[in-house]
Amino acid sequence: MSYSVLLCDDAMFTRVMITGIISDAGFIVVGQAENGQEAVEQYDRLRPDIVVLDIVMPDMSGLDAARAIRKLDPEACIVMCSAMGQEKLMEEALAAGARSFIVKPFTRSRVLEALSDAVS
Amino acid sequence: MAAIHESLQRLQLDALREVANIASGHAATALGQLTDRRIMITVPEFEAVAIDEIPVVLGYTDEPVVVVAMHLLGDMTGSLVFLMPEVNARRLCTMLLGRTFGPGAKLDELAQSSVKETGNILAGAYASALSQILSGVVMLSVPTFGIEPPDQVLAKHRASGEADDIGLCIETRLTMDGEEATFGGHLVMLPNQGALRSLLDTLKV
Repeated sequence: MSYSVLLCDDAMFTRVMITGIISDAGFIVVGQAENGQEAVEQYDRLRPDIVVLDIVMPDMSGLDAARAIRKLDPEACIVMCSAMGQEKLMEEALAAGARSFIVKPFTRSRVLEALSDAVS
Repeated sequence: MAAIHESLQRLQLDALREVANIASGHAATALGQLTDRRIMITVPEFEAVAIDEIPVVLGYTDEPVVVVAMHLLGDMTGSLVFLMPEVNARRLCTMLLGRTFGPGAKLDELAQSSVKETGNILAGAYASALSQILSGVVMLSVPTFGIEPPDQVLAKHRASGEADDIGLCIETRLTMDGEEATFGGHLVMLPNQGALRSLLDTLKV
């Protein structure tokens, strides 16, 4: 099955990298957002199978976006992504509704593992 | 590097240097994963320097450098500024993006994003080391990217009114796949007033 993915990160470089990794593995990137507000709006419109959220983004953080998305869709499949792999942040991400966490920089296998974990 | 801020004692500097060592270990791992190369970082040069002296001590002139800046939030407040000569940034982009950025080549949007994300990841490694030491949470703000003279960058920080008058400068010498790499830079931590004292208290020095 091909899962649809919404990618949200203010860094174009990261969006390009993740797109390359997951597209090769059969995921379909249906949208990209540069901040939390865009992420919530696009989620509501696109209803992807998975949303990947950077934590630190302008206007609205990934954590706030995750909470907003969970209000729209309690079953939302959220993967958080951050350069800050601190335990307390991961706990906060899980509390906000994330199902898995990717620490930057990431390997191809870690990205695919996190997305697979999230949908399983 | 020569200047050492007079207010810090040797034991305190040793403690801060150890924080830098831990952070550099995290950064080496991070950079190695980002570049898919075997990155080693030798014991970093570390200096605590008065802000006004930082450009001279680090060997920068009035020439613009690539700057990625973030605020530190949470249990440690201040700024983290990643400085890199533009020529090194081009080499980094060449390695990350697989296309050549020769002398004079303009860094396009994707190239700027790749440098910004590198600075963000290195700063994230430093924030993680600080969070471990402080047993707390140290967050980063959204990074900003610029190409400007280092003294202007530091002047902006001073103008915030929250800054201490000291910067902690970490220069890392990178070796990549066993050879000397040429894309090094400096990570400068600019603590807010009182933040450095809190860190030293936590370190019990």
